[in-house]
Amino acid sequence: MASTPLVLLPGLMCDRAVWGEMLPALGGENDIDIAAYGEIDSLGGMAERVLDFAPARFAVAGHSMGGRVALEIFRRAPERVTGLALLDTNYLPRPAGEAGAREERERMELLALARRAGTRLMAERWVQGMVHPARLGDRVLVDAILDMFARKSADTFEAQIKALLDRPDAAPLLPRIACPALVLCGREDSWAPLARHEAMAAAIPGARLAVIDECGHMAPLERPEAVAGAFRQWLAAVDSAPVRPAAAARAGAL
Amino acid sequence: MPGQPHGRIIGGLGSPHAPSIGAAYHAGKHETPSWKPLFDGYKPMQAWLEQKKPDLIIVVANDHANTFFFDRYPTFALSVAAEHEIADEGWGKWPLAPIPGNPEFAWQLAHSLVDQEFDIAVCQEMPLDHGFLTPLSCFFPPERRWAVPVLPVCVNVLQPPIPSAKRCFELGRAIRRAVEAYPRKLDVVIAGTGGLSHQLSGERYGFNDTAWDSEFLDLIETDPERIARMTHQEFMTKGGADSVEEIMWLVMRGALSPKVRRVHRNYYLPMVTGFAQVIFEDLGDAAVARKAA
Repeated sequence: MASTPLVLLPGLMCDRAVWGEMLPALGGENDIDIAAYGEIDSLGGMAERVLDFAPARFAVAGHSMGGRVALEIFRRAPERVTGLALLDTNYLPRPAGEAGAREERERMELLALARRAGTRLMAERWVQGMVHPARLGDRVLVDAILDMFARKSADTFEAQIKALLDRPDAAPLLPRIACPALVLCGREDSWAPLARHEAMAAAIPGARLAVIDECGHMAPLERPEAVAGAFRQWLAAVDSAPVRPAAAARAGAL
Repeated sequence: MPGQPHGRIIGGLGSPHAPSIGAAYHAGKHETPSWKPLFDGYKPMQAWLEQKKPDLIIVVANDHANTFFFDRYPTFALSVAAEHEIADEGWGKWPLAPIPGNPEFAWQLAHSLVDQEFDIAVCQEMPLDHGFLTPLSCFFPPERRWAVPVLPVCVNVLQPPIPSAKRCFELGRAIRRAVEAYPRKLDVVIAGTGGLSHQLSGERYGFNDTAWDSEFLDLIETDPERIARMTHQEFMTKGGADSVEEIMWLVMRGALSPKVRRVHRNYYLPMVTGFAQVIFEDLGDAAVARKAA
């Protein structure tokens, strides 16, 4: 039996390189597509772009902002999703009041920095809180992240910031997720903390929570082998899950 | 983001880079009557650098067809090399060790400049000639030589078309934005190099104008934008054909705050070239903000 197709969704300013380290360890049995969002400035728009190009039925894994896109895909076409993996991500909308305003201010400061001095130097600042502190001196890792940002323009950054600031509340979706679900996070992810992933895993029926030790927010790049191990388990569950006839029929009608 | 460590420009230096200076220095002629007025001008610079302890010196100079040849000559170039060889300019290499760079920041600067639409040539190796070796030899006493990593920036002032004064000033401003965006402590000094009035060929060989040189030193300190508006023809008329290289001082000045504190200025005209040395201390972003407001 052929393995399920897999669609991978990178996060803010990231691209296929964020998944590149872990793919060899995945075993190579799945057809893999890695999404790109162009200059789309909403999470729903990104989800629709992926749905336009994705196979009829597919497992989807999203990292950070990509996790939110994965949830928006599920919101729009649950019958096409055979499995859902949410990595270093979040499901809540932007908080009201001062916390939300502060988030907007901080994001706009980074945008101004990107416009002033370029996306790579902006990323030098951004990356400081994004990988495990012990890895900040690992130039191979840090440069891989900076290079992803350098491949994007400040306009792309602005579009994705807008998408994140306008993010919808995905909490109501979580109890409706019936496919095999993986919730994964670096233990030291200071951006999307472990507690948030524990809550997410608790709200999704049957979800498995994988915590990667000595790892920050950029889990697929920081600990590719550990993340690939969790993916292999998840994909095995996806492949052995019964195909619900109703869902298959709806997907076939597309 | 205030409070976090970040890069900053702490000051700018101006210096000639004539090969005769470096040759005299390495021949031990500091104290001879003809050279002493010049070399004494470096003593405050050595003391200032010793006190400020910068983490990096960006030196803006031009190559003299030792690294780049006229078949392919970049308008602007920087080095990302970890180490810079001493160029052999035809009379044998100066007896100096290779000069360390800072590749990590240099790459960031390269990316940032291109993002800011300065499409600078990025060099993985860049042997340095007297354009760099003269000022760098004089900035530090021998026992402190090469104690601070160097980031060389080359400007084409030799083969037309050469960049405008304004473009050089804007390059300095772009360098400042990149340094300030760097999210780690990095105290940077930037040096602009080149002689003031001089013309080394043609009918006006030996031309100098000390009054203009003095005015230039006033303006580069207090009103650099006025110099940045000058055409190459105006430079040549006022200071002789070879004084166009003063545009490299504008890169240095563009990287500094609009107002600066001058802590040193020296001028000496021994033979055919007006030699000047300055130290400008940066007054920080507050001065920038006041200017903008």
